[in-house]
Amino acid sequence: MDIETATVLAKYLGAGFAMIGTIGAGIGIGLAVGGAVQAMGRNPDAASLIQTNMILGVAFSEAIGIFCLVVSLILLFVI
Amino acid sequence: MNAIARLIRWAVIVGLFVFLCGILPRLFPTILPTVSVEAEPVLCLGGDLAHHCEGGFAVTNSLVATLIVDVALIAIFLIISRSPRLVPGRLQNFFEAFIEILYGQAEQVAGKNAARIFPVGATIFLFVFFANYMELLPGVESVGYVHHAEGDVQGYELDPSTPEGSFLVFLNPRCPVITQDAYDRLTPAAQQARAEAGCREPIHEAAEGEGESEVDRGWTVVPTVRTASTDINVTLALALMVFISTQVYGAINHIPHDRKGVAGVLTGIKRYANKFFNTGGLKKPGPAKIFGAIDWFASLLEGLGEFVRIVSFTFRLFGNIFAGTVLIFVVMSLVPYVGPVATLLLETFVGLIQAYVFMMLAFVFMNAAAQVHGEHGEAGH
Repeated sequence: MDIETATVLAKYLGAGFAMIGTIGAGIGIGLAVGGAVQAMGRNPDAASLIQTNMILGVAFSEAIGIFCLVVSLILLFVI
Repeated sequence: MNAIARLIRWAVIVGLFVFLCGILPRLFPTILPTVSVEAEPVLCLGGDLAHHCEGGFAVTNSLVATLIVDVALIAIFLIISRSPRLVPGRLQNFFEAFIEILYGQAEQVAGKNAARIFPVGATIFLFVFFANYMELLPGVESVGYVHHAEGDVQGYELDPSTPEGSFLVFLNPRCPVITQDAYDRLTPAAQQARAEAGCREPIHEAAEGEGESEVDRGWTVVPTVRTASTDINVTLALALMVFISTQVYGAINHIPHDRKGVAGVLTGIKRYANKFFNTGGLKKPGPAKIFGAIDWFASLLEGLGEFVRIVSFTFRLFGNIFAGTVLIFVVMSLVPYVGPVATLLLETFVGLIQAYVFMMLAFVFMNAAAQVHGEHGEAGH
């Protein structure tokens, strides 16, 4: 295999492997939303407050997934 | 009877699917959009546009979008605030309710300090919201000027119906420029279709060492307007704005009430900087020094966290909206006719959520920076 083919291969493999990190973000978002829905079920009056905090928490864990996405997009389209 | 109805329903669904994915794109092929992470220059002040605008000021397509959003926002709010009435009209009522919702969010985070942090967050929300929604407008990222395709970009031939030297040109989706190898791999029917559409002969790859410019790879479109949030410079600028206003607001809130003028400002900055470089505990005698050292290390981490936020802000917005455009492009190349509608619907949601999250995080961070604690802390917030 010449070096050019190897580079292309490594590029696509790397982009794929980078997306593994989104597993963590998915679990995190699931936990956050699950907890928020339970809390809303127990105390419907506090739903708006819980929802705000839930969206913030989801944004934090989503950021990690987005980092992975950005890494793999950079591998695909920039390098 | 029921079984026949079910059969007909499934036949319709499958038929529609085949029609949308197979027959319609075959009859009326579409141009595949190109994905470009960096914004491309559409205008070059004091440079040569053909050579990536070296030495000049490049007006990129995302800058055009940013200016459009700015002008639209300023115009809307000038029109509304020109003649505010006690009993609001339709437009005024709509935007008053809009601003009230935003203010409610600020109050939820900051309580009575909401009025001071509201302008920064609300401005960011309005800008990001409008910038994200530009993605949904037809013509954005699809209308632009044509130039020669380079590198791996798929080029197309110009539409034969365009007259020579015309201002408005179309690409010919039936004639993508392909290499001889790719042409040989096509089915005979596809080769026949190319011949009927009047496409040129397939190009020959330039051999090693030969000039690439000699091969005509066809034409591609550089969009005149591109969604502002898909340019990392725009999101970085917003993140830096939030960062700077957070620090300034934090320092202002640490000014003691009994000190005025320059001395007060200096004290405020000093007390605020103590949050990130807390050496107070290191001077304590005996074993308390250990806890002082831990405090010092924790404050350093807090300072680092401020800078990590810039990265997180930048990539969150950029990644979400850019991934959205890539998703739209992918669906466009798979199901070009009805498929993108579903993606656009998803993007409507994502655009709103990202603007909201950007605003809320700005509120939360600014409010956190304003919290005064320690021995000199004022009571009650």
